[in-house]
Amino acid sequence: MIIKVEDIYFKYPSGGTVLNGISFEIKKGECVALLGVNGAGKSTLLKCINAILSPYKGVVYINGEGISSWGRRRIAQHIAYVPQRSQDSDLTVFEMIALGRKPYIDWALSEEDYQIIDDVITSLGLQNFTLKRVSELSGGEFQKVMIGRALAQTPDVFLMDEPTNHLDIKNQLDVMRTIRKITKSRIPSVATIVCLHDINLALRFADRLLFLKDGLIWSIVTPEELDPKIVFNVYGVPVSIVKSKGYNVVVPVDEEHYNEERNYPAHTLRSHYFRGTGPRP
Amino acid sequence: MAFFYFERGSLGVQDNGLLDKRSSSLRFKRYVRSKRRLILLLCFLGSLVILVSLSVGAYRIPYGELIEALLGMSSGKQAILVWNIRLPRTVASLVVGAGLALAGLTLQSLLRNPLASPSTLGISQGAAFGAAVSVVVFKLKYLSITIFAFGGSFLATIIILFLGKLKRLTPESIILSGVALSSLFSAATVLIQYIANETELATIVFWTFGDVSRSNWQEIGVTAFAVFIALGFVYFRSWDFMAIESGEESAKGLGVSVERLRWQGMALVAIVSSVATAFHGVIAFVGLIAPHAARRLFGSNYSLLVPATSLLGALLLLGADTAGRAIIGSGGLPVGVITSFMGAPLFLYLLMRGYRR
Repeated sequence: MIIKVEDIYFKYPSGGTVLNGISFEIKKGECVALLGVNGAGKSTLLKCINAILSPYKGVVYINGEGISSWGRRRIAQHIAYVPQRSQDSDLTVFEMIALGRKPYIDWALSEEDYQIIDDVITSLGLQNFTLKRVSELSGGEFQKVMIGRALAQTPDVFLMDEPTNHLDIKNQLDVMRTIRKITKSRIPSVATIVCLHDINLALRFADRLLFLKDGLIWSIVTPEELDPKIVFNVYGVPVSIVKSKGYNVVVPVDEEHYNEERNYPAHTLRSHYFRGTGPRP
Repeated sequence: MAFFYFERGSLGVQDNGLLDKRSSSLRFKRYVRSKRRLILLLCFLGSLVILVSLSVGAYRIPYGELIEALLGMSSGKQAILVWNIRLPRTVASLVVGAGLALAGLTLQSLLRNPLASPSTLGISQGAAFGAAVSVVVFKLKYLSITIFAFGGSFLATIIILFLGKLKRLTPESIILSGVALSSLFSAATVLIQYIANETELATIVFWTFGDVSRSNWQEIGVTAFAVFIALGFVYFRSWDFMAIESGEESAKGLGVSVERLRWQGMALVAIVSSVATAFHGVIAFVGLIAPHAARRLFGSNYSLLVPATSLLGALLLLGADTAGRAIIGSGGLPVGVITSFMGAPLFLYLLMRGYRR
């Protein structure tokens, strides 16, 4: 076990409970995708884990130690957080990655810091961008820089908030592949939680899928165990799951064909999805 | 010591021969060194401007005599002129310019707003209002005026912070609330001017002109002390400010206590701008122009940006003051007028270019 989230409750001051008791555990070298509709509390959960937001109840443990008594700096030495894209800074790529050393430095980089930054840049293949400003990078390159910054933090846990937003399919795959490879091959190993909108990316790159609904964990499944019912219950969209080249792929199904899909009971459809739409064949 | 993260090639980066072979950190260090040389060049330019500013004025001092006077080798009229009139003015320009520029940089970073500066957010106007209140209502003099000016600017700062934080305003709305605050404080100052007697009115009007010619060494000393503290603070917290550059949540994720830094920084800004305003009046736009110019030249690396911004601010104000004296002769134009004339077009330019932060 590397990270354990126990009974997290969170409420925004403006009202509305967002998280209603979330508990799960993630092991070293495991990549978990966090899924759910917009506003389900995925980003909120990441920020609660990272103590950017403070939950009113619940504890996060890292390597068995509760982090609620830790300072911001110490948390940052163990958890690296990549927020949703905000690519509007004049920093150079080197400086941006060097920021990952922030939890360890006071006001100047040491030789060891330089060494680590060098290693990160080389292992992500970013050498040609070292002195370019991050605002001039393409979306995919920028996301890699942000991953590099997280790597430079030498953390135990990676939190990534929708790293594939606004990226084309090649860059989406590229970024997810990098994240997965880091999770699997970094020494010492790391646990990754990544927020995603695309279930198929999650099926392909995550070890487990964690679905959030109504502030609760609806289900935690491996890609092989994913059931159309879960997707329907979480997103309200009828889907079928097909196998392609060894991967499960989620395909949304037209409403008219819902009878042909016998994967979920018809009463669920009537009570939720087709409510008020008139008689059905 | 090598720091290995991955088994070789495990991230699947293929070196197709196009990747830069040189060490990234060596290249970065070289880049920083070249920027440092640029700062040195600015210092050199600055010393030339200082010489010009000491020489230009109603009575023009030839450079040879100027240097003799500076080195204490002459004791005639020129020496008195240089030491008692020209030098305080020059040093005041440098110190106030550096302080306002630094305050602008800090505000722009902490509020994540490229249009923030003591004058655009109404902080300077708040100081002027506080000063007016102390002169007319409480009949105070000297240091007490500064304390009131500080109170006024602190009030403005707190209102801005409150609006920005609790109401989650966008950058545009923060600037608009700054406009509202400025006109509120200006109106209140006018009201106080209306009920003031002639001497008090003269004192207050004197305030609203930003002018560096009236300072004595003590006032300069106090301002320099405040600026020095602020400079040290921002410089030693360079990495915290850089982290904020990459977004507030990002910064928190990197271990920066953003709220605490914001309060400390804003308090320092309030101190620096109120001391500057209390002794030298409202000098607009230096706090806006200098950080932007420095950012253009040096990027967002605060260990370069902080010295560069203060240096550019100092040179800008000194240049403006010297230009004022060179054009008008005698006492010259109040420098606040010149900076406002220079600043307004820049403000428009920034708006048109579209701000990113």
